[in-house]
Amino acid sequence: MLERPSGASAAGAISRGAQVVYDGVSKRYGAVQALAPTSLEVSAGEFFSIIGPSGSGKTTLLGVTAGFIPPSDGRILVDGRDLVGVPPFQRNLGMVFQQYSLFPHMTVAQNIGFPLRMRKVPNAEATAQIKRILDVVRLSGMAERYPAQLSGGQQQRVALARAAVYNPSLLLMDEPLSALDKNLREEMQREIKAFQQVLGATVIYVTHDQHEASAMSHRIAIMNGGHVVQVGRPRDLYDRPRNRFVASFLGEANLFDVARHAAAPGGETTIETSDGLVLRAVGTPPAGRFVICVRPEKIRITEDEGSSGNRLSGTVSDVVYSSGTAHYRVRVTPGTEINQRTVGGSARLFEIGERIRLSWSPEDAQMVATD
Amino acid sequence: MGWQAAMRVVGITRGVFVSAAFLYLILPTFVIVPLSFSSSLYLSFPPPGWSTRWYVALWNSPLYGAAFLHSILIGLPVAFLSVVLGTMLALALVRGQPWGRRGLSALAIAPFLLPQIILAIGLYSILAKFGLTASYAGVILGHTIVATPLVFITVSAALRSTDPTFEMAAMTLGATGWKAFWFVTFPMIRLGVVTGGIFAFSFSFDEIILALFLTNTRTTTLPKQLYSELRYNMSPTIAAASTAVIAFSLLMLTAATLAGRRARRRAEAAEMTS
Repeated sequence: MLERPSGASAAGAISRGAQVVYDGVSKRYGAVQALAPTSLEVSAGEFFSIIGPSGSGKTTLLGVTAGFIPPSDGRILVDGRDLVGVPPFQRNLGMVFQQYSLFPHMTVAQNIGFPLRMRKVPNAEATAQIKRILDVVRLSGMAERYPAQLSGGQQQRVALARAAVYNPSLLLMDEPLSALDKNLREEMQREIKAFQQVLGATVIYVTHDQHEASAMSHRIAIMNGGHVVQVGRPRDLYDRPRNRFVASFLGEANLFDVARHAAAPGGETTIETSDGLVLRAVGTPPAGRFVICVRPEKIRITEDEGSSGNRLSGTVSDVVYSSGTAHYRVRVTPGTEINQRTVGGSARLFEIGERIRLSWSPEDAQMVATD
Repeated sequence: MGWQAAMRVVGITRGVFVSAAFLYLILPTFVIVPLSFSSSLYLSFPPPGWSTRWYVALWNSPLYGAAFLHSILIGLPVAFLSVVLGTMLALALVRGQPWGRRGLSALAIAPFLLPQIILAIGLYSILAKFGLTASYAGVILGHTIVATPLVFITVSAALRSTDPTFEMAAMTLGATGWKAFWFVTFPMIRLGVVTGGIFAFSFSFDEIILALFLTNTRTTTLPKQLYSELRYNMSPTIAAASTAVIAFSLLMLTAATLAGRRARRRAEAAEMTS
């Protein structure tokens, strides 16, 4: 990426995304390990998200990539070239910040022109590139406005344009949508994704919003306590969480603590939960302690009194209907409530206090390690 | 007594209090103004009659003219040097976040709070060694030491209210540290820098203790000129000169206030449209 002539290619050219390899990258502050030794591979042109709660190390990983935080150890290879020790202004990557960080004393055109000016791109060429990228983000009429005169969404698009106008092959984004309201956020998610496809750049996207990450990413890395816990496609992470943290962080999960378990015929495992429920799951349990994870949408509300699969009955303790989905909380034992989701359908809504039966198949009961 | 009447009494009392405080703070400085229009040959209050002859005398006095020029020739370099040093100090202590930042910040403000007579004695003995006691360099050096904290204070405040992510953004966009400062940070802290510079100049313009030690007849500043005039004759020319100094200082103060208001207006306008 750094071999590219500074000031980027001719108008209209599409840059190729960079491959990024983290090789044992870590960061310690005294005795505190902000980032455990981390190895990751992000493919060229990939939209790669890093999610996790605050303090999980995701911002540290991004800071190390941008060059603001020197890593304690490890290498960061971008298209084979180690970035460690290279100052931020020579990394030739684009970064979009949470607060947009548009320079308030510069117009939109001056903001977008800033990286070109730093690269000593001739005026005429810079003007053409600014115009082209303004077209891409649909802000052509706004060139002479100041950032404060733009809406949040428009400011975000200017920030994107500014980070991309010099065709960096790697774009870093640090929670770029967290300042926007929900509707605008969803619109911008689509827009950023489309923008990335036009540019072809590799994107490393940090967020604490798992919906956002799922909606936009090819792959997601989930971080917790300075470690990357699991990397995978959004669906893999949801359907096959590696541990309890991933299961509960990604989407809603009903988690049952396991008291005892035994192998059952047909490759199933019988589990007795800590509050006395007996459940069945398919497969063999992982080594060590584990929990049972059942997603709310895998649970059905049934009328019949079958005996196959997992069956529980309980009392509706809460019901919320929103956007075509009914969300029930059902108390099945004095200490256990189960979340159930019924999407669409014309079934009547059950009311609080009604007795209902729940069932789910053993295939939908995941045995997830606790660690 | 009703609630509204009670509130009115509270309001009036507060008004009287604030007015009294302001009068106490400002009036003594302005007592000199009517004296400068006195027809008397001596400084006496109240003036027996009115005239502008002392302003004519002031205008025709080569000593006052020279002293005014010296004050400017000392004040401008002091303002410039204080702005450079104070801004660098503020950048280092606010953005650099070095170990022991609180202690260092206190140290940076110390020259302004420590008695200037002590600084004057110390500086005098050092400068005497290099033969600089009666030069511009000596008094500029002395004033800069005391004025730098003023710039440090205003620029630190400006820096602290500016998000460092702007600089980080500039760097990812290809700006070196110096360019990030010059194109991004500086325009955002400009008000603090300008205000600090005006404060530094005003300080130098009014300062007497260091000037007494570190200037001679060829570099006498306006306050020192006033002081020595007082010792030899009590003519109302002093009052006229003092009034001129007050007017000049008020001008600087107004400049600082206007700069601040302009920046605030712009910020408000930005808020309104966003």
